[in-house]
Amino acid sequence: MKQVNLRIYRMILPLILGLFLSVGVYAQNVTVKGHVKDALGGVIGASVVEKGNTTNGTITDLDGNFSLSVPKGATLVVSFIGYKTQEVAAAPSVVVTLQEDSELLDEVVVIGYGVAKKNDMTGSVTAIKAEEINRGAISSPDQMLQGKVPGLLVTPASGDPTGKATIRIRGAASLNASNDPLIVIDGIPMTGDGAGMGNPLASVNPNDIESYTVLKDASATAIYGSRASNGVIIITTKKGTGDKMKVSYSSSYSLKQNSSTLDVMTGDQYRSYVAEAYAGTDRLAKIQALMGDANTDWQDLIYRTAFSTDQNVSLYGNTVNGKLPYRASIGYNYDEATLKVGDNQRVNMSISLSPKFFQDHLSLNLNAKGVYNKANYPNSGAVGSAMDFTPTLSPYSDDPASSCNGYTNWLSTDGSANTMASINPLSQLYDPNNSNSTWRSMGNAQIDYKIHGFEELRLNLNLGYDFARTTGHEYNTLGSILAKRNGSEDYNKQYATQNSNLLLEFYGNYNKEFGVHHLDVMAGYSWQHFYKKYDESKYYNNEIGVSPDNLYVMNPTDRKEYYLVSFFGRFNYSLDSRYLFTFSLRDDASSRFHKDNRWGLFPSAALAWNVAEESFLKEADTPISSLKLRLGWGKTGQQDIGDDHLYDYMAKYTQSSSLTTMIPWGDGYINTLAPGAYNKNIKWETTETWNIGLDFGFLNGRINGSVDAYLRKTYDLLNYVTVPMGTNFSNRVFSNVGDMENKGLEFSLNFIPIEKQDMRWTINLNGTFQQTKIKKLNEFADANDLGTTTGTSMSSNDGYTSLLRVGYTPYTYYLYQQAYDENGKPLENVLVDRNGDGKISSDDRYVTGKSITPKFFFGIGSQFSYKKWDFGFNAHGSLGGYALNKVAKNNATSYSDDYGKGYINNLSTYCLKTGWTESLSEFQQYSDMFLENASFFRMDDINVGYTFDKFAHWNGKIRVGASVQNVFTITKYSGLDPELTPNDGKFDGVDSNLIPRPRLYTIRLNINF
Amino acid sequence: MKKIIYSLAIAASALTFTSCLGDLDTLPLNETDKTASTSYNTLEGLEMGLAYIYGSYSLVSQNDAGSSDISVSDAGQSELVRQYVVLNEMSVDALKCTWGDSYITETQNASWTSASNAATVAVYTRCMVTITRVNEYLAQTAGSSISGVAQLRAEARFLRAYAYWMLMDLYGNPPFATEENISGGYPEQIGRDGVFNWLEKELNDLLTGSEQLASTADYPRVSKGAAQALLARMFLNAEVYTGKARLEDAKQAAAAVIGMNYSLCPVYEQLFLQDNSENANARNEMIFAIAYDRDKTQSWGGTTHLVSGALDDANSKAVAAELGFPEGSMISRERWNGYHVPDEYVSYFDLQGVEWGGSGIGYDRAASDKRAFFSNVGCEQAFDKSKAETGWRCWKYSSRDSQGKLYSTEDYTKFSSADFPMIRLAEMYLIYAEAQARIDGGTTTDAAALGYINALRARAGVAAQSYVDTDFILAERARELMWEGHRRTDLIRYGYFTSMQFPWPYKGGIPNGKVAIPSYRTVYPLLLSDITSNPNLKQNTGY
Repeated sequence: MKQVNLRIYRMILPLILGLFLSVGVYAQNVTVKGHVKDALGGVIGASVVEKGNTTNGTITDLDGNFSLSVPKGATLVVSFIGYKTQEVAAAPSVVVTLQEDSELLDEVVVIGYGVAKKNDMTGSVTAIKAEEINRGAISSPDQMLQGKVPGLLVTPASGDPTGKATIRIRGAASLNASNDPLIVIDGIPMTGDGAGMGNPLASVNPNDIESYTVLKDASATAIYGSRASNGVIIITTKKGTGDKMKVSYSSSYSLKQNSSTLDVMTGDQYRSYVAEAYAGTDRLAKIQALMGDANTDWQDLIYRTAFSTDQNVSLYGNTVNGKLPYRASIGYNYDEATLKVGDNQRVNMSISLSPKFFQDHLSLNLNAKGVYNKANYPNSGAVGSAMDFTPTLSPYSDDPASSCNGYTNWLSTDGSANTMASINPLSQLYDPNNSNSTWRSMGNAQIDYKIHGFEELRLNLNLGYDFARTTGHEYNTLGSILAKRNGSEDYNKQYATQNSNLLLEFYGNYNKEFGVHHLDVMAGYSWQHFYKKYDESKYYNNEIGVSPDNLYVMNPTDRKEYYLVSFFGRFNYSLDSRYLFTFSLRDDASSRFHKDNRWGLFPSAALAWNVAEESFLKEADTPISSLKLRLGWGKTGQQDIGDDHLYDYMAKYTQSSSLTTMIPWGDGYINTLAPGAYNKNIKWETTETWNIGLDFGFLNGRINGSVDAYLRKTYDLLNYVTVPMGTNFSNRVFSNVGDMENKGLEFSLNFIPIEKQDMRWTINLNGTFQQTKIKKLNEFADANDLGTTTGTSMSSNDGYTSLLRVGYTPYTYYLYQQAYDENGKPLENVLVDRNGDGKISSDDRYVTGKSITPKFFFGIGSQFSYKKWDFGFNAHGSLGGYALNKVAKNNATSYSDDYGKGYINNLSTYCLKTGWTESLSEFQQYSDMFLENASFFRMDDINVGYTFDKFAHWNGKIRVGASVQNVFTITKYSGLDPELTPNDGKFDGVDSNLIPRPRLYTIRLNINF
Repeated sequence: MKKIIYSLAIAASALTFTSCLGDLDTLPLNETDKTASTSYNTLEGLEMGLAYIYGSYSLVSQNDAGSSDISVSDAGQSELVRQYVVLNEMSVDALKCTWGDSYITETQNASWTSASNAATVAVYTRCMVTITRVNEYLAQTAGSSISGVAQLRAEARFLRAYAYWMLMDLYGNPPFATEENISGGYPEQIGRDGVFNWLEKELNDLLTGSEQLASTADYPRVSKGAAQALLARMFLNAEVYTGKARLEDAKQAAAAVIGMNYSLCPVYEQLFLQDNSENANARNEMIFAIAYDRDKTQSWGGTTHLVSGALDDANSKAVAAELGFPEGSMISRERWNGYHVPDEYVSYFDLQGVEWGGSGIGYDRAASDKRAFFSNVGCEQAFDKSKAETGWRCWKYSSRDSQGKLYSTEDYTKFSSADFPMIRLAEMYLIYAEAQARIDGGTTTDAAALGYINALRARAGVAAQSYVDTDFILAERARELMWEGHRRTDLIRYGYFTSMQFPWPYKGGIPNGKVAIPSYRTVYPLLLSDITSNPNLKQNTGY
């Protein structure tokens, strides 16, 4: 320590001496009195600083005047948001006339196959610079987008760090095909699956991201044709800048804690409850015979305070006389789940070179990224088991009659597992081993050539690749309860997936101004190949004494591929920057479909009117700084109908290699060979979108924002439909039959209430109203058609909770109506006989009109900085969504006949509130009393930071920050978390047991030099 | 410079355009993926194709027992044999269940509707899909010159005929699908008698036509005996199907089967044990069996369901003790505690020394009919569908084999290896006797008929008869063929299914069952989903 301190003194001493010296040399000061104005008059609050000494500065007063003492011969830098920064030589009296900064309006946004000036854009596009997003600990890029973009709903994964967030742009456009937006990273469109990792975004280190562009309406997305129905997110990574090499280091450390648990009985509570409730019945002795005398808190045992860290270093600069900008980075992320065992580790590397040749005519853009990811999956079943498993038993035991591998569990008298009983949550976590690791690399070479002598024409060739390989295994320890329940002594599954995605894309771009006319025309071609390989082998040692080789099941390699071939073009015309017109067309072919349905044409058109450029506004004295009206229309498609449907259109025979579904033949067994069901007419879903939008800015942009209204219709919606029996090899096929309509209104508002030299405050707000309705579901419409029943069952039997029904939002709950007594208390097993036929039957169900889809969702964020301090928060929320609380249903009654099956389960304290003691009828389980308003407001993070700069001549910056994530949630919802994750890929709103989302406490260090 | 770049660009684009458009014609990449022409160009391929049609009866998919190749909510519940047994035994007095699944409630209470349940969907769909698969198989192999193809085609045709028989028996007037309907054209109905006539012609063609079944075949593949036996069963029920009795034909057909190389298994219980396919005695009685294997032919339906669905722990233990297995053994590997037999049905067996409330199986097994496999530990006598501990449990199908080995404790597999008897010789004996009795006016002393009945009774260890009447034969069928999928057809043939005079617990949803079931319920409804997707179909009357 002492040595370090000495070193610091040695550095600081000359610095202080130097300061005194400098004072001596430049002691002759001059006081500048000045006036800053623009075309309209004095500018208030403009910043005036001494060049090279930013600590010496001031701002203009209410009349635009200032006074500043500077050394003789100094230069003043005058700046104000929305204006070009100006420099003037210091003189006793100066007048500075600020010019509007057209460059700000010229800000360039990356769009599909090219860039566009923000001011010239006609579509509904939101662009965000990553640096504008200031958050505590970001471990994935989707977190950065949460609550930031109107129309974009990010539902974070559960507390499992290997989980995946769900991203929806303007709601779901499809029922059965993918609803994920297309992700384009540095010009490479990604596949929808994560190639071994949660989602395609997980492959990018958030610290490498320069900007996001979210394309929402069809006029912007149609250039991506058959993959664009759910919007497009374009991610551009950082490139080398500046001149000499710079280093950026960031590091964060987080602690994670669950903020709440579910309230279940302790062992003592359970024992006294049972003794009281069953006093005098023969049940009491039977239950007591199964009870232990422990007080085990299972939730306490399965959760932990978890740790995560993120470390990043990047080097960037520009070398070879400024001809070779470069950037290289490496990052490490370790993320632990609060649910024991679960964790995820990731190493990201990236390198980018962007040299230019021939007087900038030829520019090359080379990017390569590498990811190594290692995940340990916790068994999420432990979350539910921790509530169910009896607290009266201690977790560990060596008694072979009641334990396996040292964990107490329910066994039958013959030593086999009681397959109906709940499982010791600890054995569920520690007995299995489920992990995988992924290597992934992607990169591209983009060659852009401006033709010599004809510089308006630019040719662009982009070659890209994305390879990923995942290897993993699932293993149940020998003799564990899971192995026993699974029907084999042990179980070991190994698997490997290999994904590859190759891209070739070429376009030409002609960009020219003819006086007031501006023309920007692009035409191109794209070819993309997707390949996927899956190998799996399983080893069961399910018969003692039999050679394991006999039971080694090696499934044949599963290989899949598809191609996309496209021609596309875009025509932009602008007249005097006032009237803008865009037309785009894409002709797309996907090998997923039959020759006759393979090609699809996806046009779009858009108009925009830059009202602010009109002379009547420009010259008038208004606070309006920008105003643009946009109109757009377009068609897009969805060819991603699932990898299980790659060859749906062809009559295909499949030879089985399964060892468990063979047929006895002669002396042995043979495999089967079968024709599969197929649908020759299958094709993509088509979505047509209309959009009207208004962008505005007031007071030199200190208030700005946009409003968009959209209407989106999806045709040829894929659904599983019944086929006439006798005509196909199954009873249902995937077929294009439905229509869906989606409309919404979204807005974003940004305020800059304070903009001063050392103080700045920004507020961002965005919100989206949305409504989705199914318009058609079957070939032959029938007014009495109930629709397709769907949604997770509420009971242990098969069942459904919601409907896909014409006229309603997908997954609209379909339930029984609860009956209440005069005090408003729900009556057990009493439902309302809605059709009045004197009995409760499935005819008494009603369409609730409610679904998990919120009617309105919003995000709010704010940043405040004062001198070297910065402070910020981000929050998001939604209104009008309803969740079906299955956890509450599971705990609604104290009734149980489990003792008859050789085990007992714990009770939740919720059943004391209902006071229910009977077995829940099948009808009761589907009661609307479990349907709860899931509106919420969540404070995602609050962060604070302090920046140190100016360490003598060391030109670096150090920021130290602290943040809390998942700070609090305001909701009426009684379950753990109103923000539900999908069940089996379906957003059906049923709250089963999700791994709780923890609260994070993070400290963060950034060093830049 | 410019020229070079231009020409390079043009060349590159020309190359990529042409090759890339061709890329769109992809073909499946897996070696296991084939087309019709590459599938059936070898004998091996033809055999695997036929194996799949056999598998239509026992498997839910060619991948594993947990995933279905038809769209259903529960793969295990969609197995054909399982739901065939449910529709034929649970709808009447032989099989009751305390589970709350809607298909179980509807089947027990005779409240099924055209809006399908798991049982009606499984049997209808699996039969129709089997028929479609055979149609495809026949279309693709027509004109094949591979040696042995004729017999394979004949077996496929029998499996299609059996599926049509099930549809005719259960659904009356199913859609009649041919090769022309594959991927186009809506199938039409030809009437219940139309299906009957087609079946008679088809089965006779398989016996005497140009593409015959073999006289004998490797177990469990079908031979002429199966076609002949199905004809016997059809003729016995001909009056129900067509309105015209064919008793003499039934007797002749049964006699023809009896004259073939089949023989009664000397020990009745061995027919249903885990090793019934390895046991030559059991195999020789099987005319058409659906094969299962706990490792190689796994199914959550079939006999797995009958073995595991029936018992609870207490009865499983009591039965194991009764049979002398070590303390703590279980006679069934899994104990789902669902299936029951009402006392009314058990009473057909004249059990000796019945007691309720004891700790053993509840009767003197040695002194009783050897076809009785019951237990009543912890149960009340009167079956109550809302109480698990009522009525009798049945362990006719269990986890043991004929060598005294118990596949329950030392082994972990959950599946059953017992094959399910679709047709066995004893049924032919009973058909012969019943046809003779009916020809003789209801009671017969015909020596051949009595000989067959008494052969079955001798095997069961019960007294011989000097005459038999039709009601006695029905009771004998209840004893001999219990839980083999015959009971509903039998009661319909006797007119008892609908009659108020023949009650059973929960008949028509009434606890004491004293109710008439409307006659339209003697057939199940066609699936509403098929009616709405096929404009040619007409729903059965009453639904």
